[in-house]
Formats: sequence, C-alpha cells, structure tokens
Amino acid sequence: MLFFSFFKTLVDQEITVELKNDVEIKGTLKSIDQYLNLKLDNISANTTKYPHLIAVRNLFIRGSNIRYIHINPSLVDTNLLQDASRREAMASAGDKIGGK
Amino acid sequence: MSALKSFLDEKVKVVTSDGRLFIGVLEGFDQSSNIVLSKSFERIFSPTEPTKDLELGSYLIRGEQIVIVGMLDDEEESQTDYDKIHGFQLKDTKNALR
Amino acid sequence: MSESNSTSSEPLDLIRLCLDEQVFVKLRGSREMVGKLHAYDMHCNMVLSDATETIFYTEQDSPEIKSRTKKSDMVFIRGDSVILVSDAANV
Repeated sequence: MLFFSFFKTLVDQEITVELKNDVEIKGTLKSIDQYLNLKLDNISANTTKYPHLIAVRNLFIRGSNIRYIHINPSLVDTNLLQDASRREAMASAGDKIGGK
Repeated sequence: MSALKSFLDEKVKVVTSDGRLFIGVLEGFDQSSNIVLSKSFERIFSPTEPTKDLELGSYLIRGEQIVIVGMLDDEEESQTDYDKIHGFQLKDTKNALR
Repeated sequence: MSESNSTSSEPLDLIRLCLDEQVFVKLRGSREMVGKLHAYDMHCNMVLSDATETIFYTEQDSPEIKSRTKKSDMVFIRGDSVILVSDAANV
C-alpha cells in the first residue's frame, strides 16, 4: 500500500509515464487505485511516430503495463518515503510471524 | 478501477498489449478492467500505406490485454484526415529477451 | 524466528539495507538503472533519485551491442520489470 499512498499524494501533479511498449505519456495525475492503475488528464504523447493517441486528452492506464513513472523531485519527501519503506518492511515481517 | 466509469457510453481508443488499437463505445467494464465495446473497429497505421479501419461490431477485450483506454475528443477526431496520417505499429508490452 | 525484524535475512531485507544508498537494478527489456534508493515494497516496486538508465540494443544486420543512457531526477520503477537489485558498489 506504500506506493498507492505515495501516488495519492501526487494527485493533480504532472507526471510522465513510460509504458512497457516504449510509449511515453505526460499528463496530470487525476486518480490512482490499489493496482496502481492511473487516470491522466490533459495528456501529451509523441503522436508523430505513434498516431494512436490522436484526439485523446484523458486516459486510463492499466498499472500492469507501466515500466516507469517519472516524477518532479520537488514533490517527493525522500526521508518520509524511506521511513515508510522501513515501516512497511517491519509490518510485513510481523505479518509472516503472526501468521504461523 | 472506477476510473473507467467516467468513460461509460463515450467513444474510446483502446491500446492492447500486442500493440493494436481498437476504437468503439465503452458499454461496460469490471473489476479486472475487462471491457465491452460496441460499434468497434480496429485501426491499422502504416508508415507508407493509408490508414485502414476494420469493422468489428461488439467486442470484449480482456483486462489483462489492456494498456490504455483513452476518451476520444470527437471534434478533434473528425478533423483528422487519417488517410494522410502515417505511423508505426506499436510494440508489445512483453519485453521478451532478444 | 526469534532473530526476525531488524536482523533477519529474507531476500528483501537486502534491499532494505540499500535504502538511501546507490543501487544497481537490472530490468527486463535489456535495461539497467543506477540511482539512490528511497522506497521499495514487497513487489520490488521502487523509487530512485538521480537515476541513470542504460538501454542495450543491437541494430539490424549487426551483432554489435550498443547502449544509450537516459537520466531521471526521480523515478518510480514497477516491480514486475525488475530482475535483480544490488548495492551499486558491488557492480
């Protein structure tokens, strides 16, 4: 849930998504769900090479086909992320012991 | 997954994991992002040949195969002369080792 | 399991020890990424800063492997593309 929470803090910010089919799409993050499916508004993409997204402004991206998401570093509190990662690691270790 | 709700009954462009492009009206979807399109067709771009549209009718696309569902701006779409637009086939999303 | 939590040695603990350090990540699609690790989860989703991606490719009719690099100030990597993660000092 760490990254779901993280991306929720980036709603209404501009991000660039690189898909596994090498397409890059820049847009405003409008929503995110637990699968890291995204909704982007006001998108821009290279329609000269791949005209597939002509006349598309708002789109849904299935999380499973994302390779990278590039983020403006000024929007990220790295200390907070690191602490959250450690906490999540502890929590999942605890789950395993608790489950036995 | 409710993100697709705002696209219901709208014309959408769907890119699939094998690199194909489908256009149709979004009739429905579910938790796994399986979707149903009506009045759908596949659009095939080529670097040299004119763009081809293949009529398909009603189509169900498996969620696993979906990369993008984008809402279509009808005005911009109708102003585009696809006979003059050329492009490359999209890659698949498998990233298989070559 | 008494020595769990901070000292236990599950595979992902190795990644935890790399937090705030330079890491090397090998990825599907003939790609590698080096950068500073700020976040990860059990799926190997990660966030890296000051990252340099190297993409390896061959051109048609030539066996020679070429590479190009791309930089990103802050990048999220989806875990299903990750092949291996290592301390960048080990590479």
